[in-house]
Amino acid sequence: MTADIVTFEKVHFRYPGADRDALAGLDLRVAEGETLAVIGPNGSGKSTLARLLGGLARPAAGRLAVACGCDVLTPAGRLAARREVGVLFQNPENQLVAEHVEEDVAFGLENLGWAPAAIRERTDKMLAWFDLVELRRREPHLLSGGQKQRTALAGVLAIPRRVLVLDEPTAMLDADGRDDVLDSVRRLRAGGLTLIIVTQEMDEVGIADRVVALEQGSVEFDGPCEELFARADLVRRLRLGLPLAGEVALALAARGRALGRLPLTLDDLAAEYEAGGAAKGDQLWLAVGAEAEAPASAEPSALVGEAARESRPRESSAAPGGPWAASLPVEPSATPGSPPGMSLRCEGVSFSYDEGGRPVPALQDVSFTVEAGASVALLGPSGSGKSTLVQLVRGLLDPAAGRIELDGVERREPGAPQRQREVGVVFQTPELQLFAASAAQDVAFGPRRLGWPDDVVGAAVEAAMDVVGLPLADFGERHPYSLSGGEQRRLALAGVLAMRPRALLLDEPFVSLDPASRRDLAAVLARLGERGTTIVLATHDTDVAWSLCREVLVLDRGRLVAAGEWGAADGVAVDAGPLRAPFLVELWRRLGRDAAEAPRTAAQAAEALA
Amino acid sequence: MTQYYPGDSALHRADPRAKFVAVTALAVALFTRDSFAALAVYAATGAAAFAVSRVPVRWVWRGLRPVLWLIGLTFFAQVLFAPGEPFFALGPFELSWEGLRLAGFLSVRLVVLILIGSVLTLTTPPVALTDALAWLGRPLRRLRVPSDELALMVTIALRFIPTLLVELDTIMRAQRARGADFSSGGPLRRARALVPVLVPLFVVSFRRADELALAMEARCYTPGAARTRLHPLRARPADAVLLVLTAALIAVASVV
Repeated sequence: MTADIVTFEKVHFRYPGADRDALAGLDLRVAEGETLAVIGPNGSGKSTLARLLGGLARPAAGRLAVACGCDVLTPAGRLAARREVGVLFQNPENQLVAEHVEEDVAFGLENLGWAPAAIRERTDKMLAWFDLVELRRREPHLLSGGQKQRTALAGVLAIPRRVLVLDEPTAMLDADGRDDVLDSVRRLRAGGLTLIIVTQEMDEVGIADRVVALEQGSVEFDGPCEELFARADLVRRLRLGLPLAGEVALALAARGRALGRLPLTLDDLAAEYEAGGAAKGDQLWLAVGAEAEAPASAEPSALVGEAARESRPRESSAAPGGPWAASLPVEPSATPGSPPGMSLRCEGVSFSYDEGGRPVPALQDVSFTVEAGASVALLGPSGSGKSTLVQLVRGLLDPAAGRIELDGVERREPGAPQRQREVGVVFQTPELQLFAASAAQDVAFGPRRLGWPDDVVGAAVEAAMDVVGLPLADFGERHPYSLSGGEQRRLALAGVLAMRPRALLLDEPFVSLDPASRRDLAAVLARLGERGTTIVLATHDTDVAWSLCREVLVLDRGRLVAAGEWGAADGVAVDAGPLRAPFLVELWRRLGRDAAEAPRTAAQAAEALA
Repeated sequence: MTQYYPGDSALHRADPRAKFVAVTALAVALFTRDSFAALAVYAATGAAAFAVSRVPVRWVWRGLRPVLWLIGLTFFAQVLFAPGEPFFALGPFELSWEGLRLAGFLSVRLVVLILIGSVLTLTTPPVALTDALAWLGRPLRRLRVPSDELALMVTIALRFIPTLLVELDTIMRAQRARGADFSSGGPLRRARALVPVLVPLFVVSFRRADELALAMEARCYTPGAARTRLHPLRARPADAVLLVLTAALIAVASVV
């Protein structure tokens, strides 16, 4: 039996000015060498716990708060804990301080006053272990997100640690960066380091031995991962991110076809499905209630797990339409006469960036047509020219060659500026654009710039805030910076929608959102598509694109390699060019079904499979 | 002025403290002598140092181009307003040999100054320069000037300049797509047009400062505590040679 390396008993913490405790009597024990996942929705106290463990904040009260033998209730104990417990934060950009990778890795050792030779030796070891040797002289701003986070991790662990806390380490990374960092985390686990992974992603929970779920500052669940996976109700309520395999399984269960256990990967799902579901009595991870007879459109949250029935009443509040739908109006107040979609056409479009007097081609001879009202995915790896294309279509850049037509009007013809104004653009991390003192004022910025009269601006603001699920009455007077990350992003989208765009171009809109916010945003985009707005969605998340878009444009190194209907027998192949096939298509192939008829959503998949 | 050019020359390897002292001494000495002969010595010094640094001429040229107009302006101002016997006059403007001589001297001196100064910035990364200044500023700690902390601040500021530029670009693009106009109207209107850009930029920067401070604490940074360095400043015999050479050159220039 290994000793506990972390012992927290009845620990309280409250942020200055807050009206309730961020941590309210928290109990936590972690054994040496254990890998623990800490999960919970935004505001549940996860990040606060990470700070307390690392000796970076002072608990307000507590019977016992010891990490690695350091009593973090005392100032000296907190200083000591900073040496023993490493903390990796969410935002890779804001953790790197030095001019090059290797100096950054060395930063902690410099602070501890190690001799230069010792720093050199330890730094080299870290660089080698995290595969950063070739990047050692690279400046941080030239690294990819995953490389930045790996550098930060090397810097945290350069100081020899007994415990590593990872505070949502992949939340701000794209899929490649995520794999990159998770790979390092798995290797650390294999190396025997005590790990505490704070996360909202279910597949990251799968790395751990044990999982602790926080809700409103106290422990709601503490047990092995398998046991959590057996509590579908809890998984839903905590608004965790489930891989699509899990979503499909939950949707299946809602249709009365529970699988033996909650699968997280394609292999698991296919195996469980083919094994024939919950025939075995000892694997009743889902006890499906009467709600299982829910209509086809119901989200799996309509399930009530066995355990949920015995728990306190406030927890059985699974709203119809899924827990995330609760924050969104079920039926958007329809804007009468919402503008019709706009058609977009590019013909032989090329563009080069100027790099020190030398032209670097970004797009070459790109031609395609997007019909009015279509939803089109613009796919391709990083650096393939997606962002450039978005800016060209909006008229923010001028092409070196070729024609760009909006509604059949070429960009140099009269009437083109008017149409360019009717193209809304949502850039990466659009919440950066929020600046006004209230949400409503911020949304009104664009319409006012268009010179609309006050009553028209007011109506446009109200309609736009409604569509994104931030009704004016509730959110209009809120300060934009007081909103959560996901709400900020939807508010920024409202600021674009208020200008009544007929076409909407979105550049990686899902990056660095938590799982619940991703679902909220996807729901908003689906709704806009149904209303007839032309949508071009630039992303490298194939699965989201698959659920929202019937057509696809595929860019690879500045060239359009495929365009057309996506997945249809006579259209673009699901894995054209550099694409990875969508998960649901892979699933259909694996199950020996016709890939051309693969479903678009987990609910549709479950309908076909049940 | 001129941007650091990565390299491995003797000057690149020299201790930034020695380089800083040498260049400062040369610059001061340059202004204490008014003879063309002394100027020639310093010009030759600058050219030689530049040759040793093996920085391509094109790189230097790119950095210097923006200051050329300043040199041109100095030249014309001196030519036109210097006292002397005019040999040519056009309205209020008069040309004299003395004026031409003085203007030429001052312009060349400015060029030589920039050349010598550039050798420092071309062969020394900004962070090394910061470290050197921090070391040279250590006596000021008695006056409670936290030179090491200031140096770390400058280092971090340098590190985040590119990040800030990207964010600035992103925000401007987003606001332009929302109809913002940064390029028309009077100064007041332009200044007001920048509000939707500057507010988010400040907010991002403040949030960054918070997160960065936390990440630094998590890596055991304590303000005021003594730190060591992965790449400590290390004086070598070559640095003594550099300083002696500099002194010798100044001596020569003061007698010619």
